[in-house]
Amino acid sequence: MKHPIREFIQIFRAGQRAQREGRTDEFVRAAKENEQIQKTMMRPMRYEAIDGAGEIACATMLLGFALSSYMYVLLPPASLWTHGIAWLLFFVGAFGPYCTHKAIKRFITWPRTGYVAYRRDTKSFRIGMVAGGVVAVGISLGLVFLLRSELRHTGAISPGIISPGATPASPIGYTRKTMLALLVVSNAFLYLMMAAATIRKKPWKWLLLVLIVLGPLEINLLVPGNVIELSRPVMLFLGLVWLLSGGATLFSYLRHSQPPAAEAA
Amino acid sequence: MNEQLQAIAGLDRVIHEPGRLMIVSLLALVKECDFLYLLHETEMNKGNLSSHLARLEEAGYVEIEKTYRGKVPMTLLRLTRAGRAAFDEYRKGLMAAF
Repeated sequence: MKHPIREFIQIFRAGQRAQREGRTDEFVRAAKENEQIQKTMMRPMRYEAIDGAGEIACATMLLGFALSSYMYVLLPPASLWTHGIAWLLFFVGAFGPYCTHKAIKRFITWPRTGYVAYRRDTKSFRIGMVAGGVVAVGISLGLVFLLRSELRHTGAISPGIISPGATPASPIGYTRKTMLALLVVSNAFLYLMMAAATIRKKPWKWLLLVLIVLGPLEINLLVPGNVIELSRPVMLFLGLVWLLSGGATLFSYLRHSQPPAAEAA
Repeated sequence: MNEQLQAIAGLDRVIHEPGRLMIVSLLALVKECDFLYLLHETEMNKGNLSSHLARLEEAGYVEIEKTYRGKVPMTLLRLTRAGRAAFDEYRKGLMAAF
């Protein structure tokens, strides 16, 4: 089976061509019907993004890592609380996205507009998983390579956390630029992918996409220091934009959907 | 042109009905879903949706499972292997018309 979007475009063109050529009504009706099937088959994709759960999950990750990193800098270094809270936030960043997404679906979306489990056995899903894994490993290795000098100078215990009393490393231009480009491109791409299904109905998401691209560039001009000092406000900013987008989508969803009467279940 | 019309005429009539076609198209992309999801996505009323689902179940295209989530009753729906094959065949038939 072809990908629904590719097939939709092909059928849409065929339908238009059939109308232009003045084919029989039955044929045009079949073309329109096929077009309708494709539109219907894209609805589950839109349903996944209807509540902003994915955006809120991304916000949880970015805010968790950014706040964890800030805790180490702002709280007294020798405090047990500092380590406890920072690590707690670090774990929120690492495991929060999955839990947040699941919780929104389970307690808000499914009781209101229905439960759906997506297919995981398709070829495109498997290819996507493998490609995602390869890209993630590539980015991680690239980051370790880029940050190796920063980590050596600052003694950071994780990409987002600086050990107390560490001396800041000298700014390295290309590392900052590469890290910034990586954050901006990956976030913009991910945001576009997640919002693609709903962006036509919610055009304000284009504005947030612009913020995701321009915000970090502006922060780059304002914040001096090494790559870790730059990544903190950038991640905080991006996390807040994701949260704003997800929160607004969730609010809109709650306003336009009502929990069903008991017998509907 | 005759071949195209023949292809359209040979389509599976159980799936060809617009309401059922919408249900099967939705179920084809998911592993399973509940009654409420289909009600929301198809915008049919409960009676209509129930009768279409009963017809599809009778044809062996849809599997209906009555279950509970906690104490809330839930009707789970999924396309059977025969249903998936019939839908693929239907789409091929429709594509053949082009």
